[in-house]
Amino acid sequence: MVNAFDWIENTQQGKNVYQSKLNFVTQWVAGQRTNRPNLPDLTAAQKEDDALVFYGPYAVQLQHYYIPNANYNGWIVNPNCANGQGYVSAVRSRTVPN
Amino acid sequence: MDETKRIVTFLLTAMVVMPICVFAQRTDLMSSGYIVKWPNTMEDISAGNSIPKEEISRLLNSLKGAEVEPAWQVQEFRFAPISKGVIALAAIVDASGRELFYGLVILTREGAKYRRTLFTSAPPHFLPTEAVDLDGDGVVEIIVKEPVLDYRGAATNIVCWNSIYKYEEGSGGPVETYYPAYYTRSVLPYLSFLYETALKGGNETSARSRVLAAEIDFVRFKYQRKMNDEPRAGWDEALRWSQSKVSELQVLAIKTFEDMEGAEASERLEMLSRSPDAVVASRAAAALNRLRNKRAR
Repeated sequence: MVNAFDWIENTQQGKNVYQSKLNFVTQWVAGQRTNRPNLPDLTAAQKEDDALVFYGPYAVQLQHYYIPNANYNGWIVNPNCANGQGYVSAVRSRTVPN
Repeated sequence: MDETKRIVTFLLTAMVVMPICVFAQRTDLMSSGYIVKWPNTMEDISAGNSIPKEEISRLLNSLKGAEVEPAWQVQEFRFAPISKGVIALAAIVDASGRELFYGLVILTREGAKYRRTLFTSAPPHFLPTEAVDLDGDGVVEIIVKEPVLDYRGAATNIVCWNSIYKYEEGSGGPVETYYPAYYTRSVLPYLSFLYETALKGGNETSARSRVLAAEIDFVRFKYQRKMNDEPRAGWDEALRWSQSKVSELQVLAIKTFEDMEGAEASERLEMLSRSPDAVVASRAAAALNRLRNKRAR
């Protein structure tokens, strides 16, 4: 009998999609840091935040969770990413059941 | 109005029509090395709409701007005249990789480049009802379904406020009063129908039902403020929502106060910006900022 839906496969696909978003964020950050030696890398948690934005429906807004500040020596929370940040907060507020 | 031009909506709707020089949300001028046979005349549109979806997807994914972008997936597309002599591509897209399709792209050609405008527009979609000639003038208006509350996975009700965009050179004032008959014929009756069937007879006291009822009311009150010139419509409900322990209701209050503007609304937003709920507080603070920026302009 062929399964109509496989939870394990679905979870693996979700993991693959999320990893692709992490790769995309890493590539984007690297692009931002090109020729900007004072711009630090995002932390792992910050990259997760940004990847989550692009994992959710508001990826289409193309607004990153964090953007470089005016001097390109740090990062600020993007004021134009409210929907995406709300999605990230909602996801992070879910506790994983034991 | 020709019956064939009536829009069949599946969601709660209310409309604001805004003529603007370029569409709102996000607009970029981009280049692409990929070519599709773009229709130049009304007679060519049918052939344009027969282009394989994969080619349209390749076109959208080939657009190059200043930054790297995620991959787009196209759900459906159509070419349509958005202004006299301007034929645009409208496409429903997803950039999440999970077929969430919360995107509406409008693409026009400007010489060798493309002007791409992105809207957040909630599913379900049926483009003939979202890029549609509402007034029979030969050009389409774009209906953008803005979700009233954020995406919450399976708990999302997808109640929308529909905005209408019209591409015009040289902006006039808001024209939401142009389509009252559509709203009174289709939208208001549907609001009542949804309220009666989705909420009455069910578990009306459940948190989800209360949120759904509030979302329906939010759309109705926003319509009254915009279309019926009732600037205080929904104030009492917004006050109640702001005092609720349910954060979704507080977010509806924030959106209502921001829409109403004024000193009293700003005071309410100040109070909500001090909420112990971080999402509510940040939303209220952001709304206050937007109001202050608007006043400063």
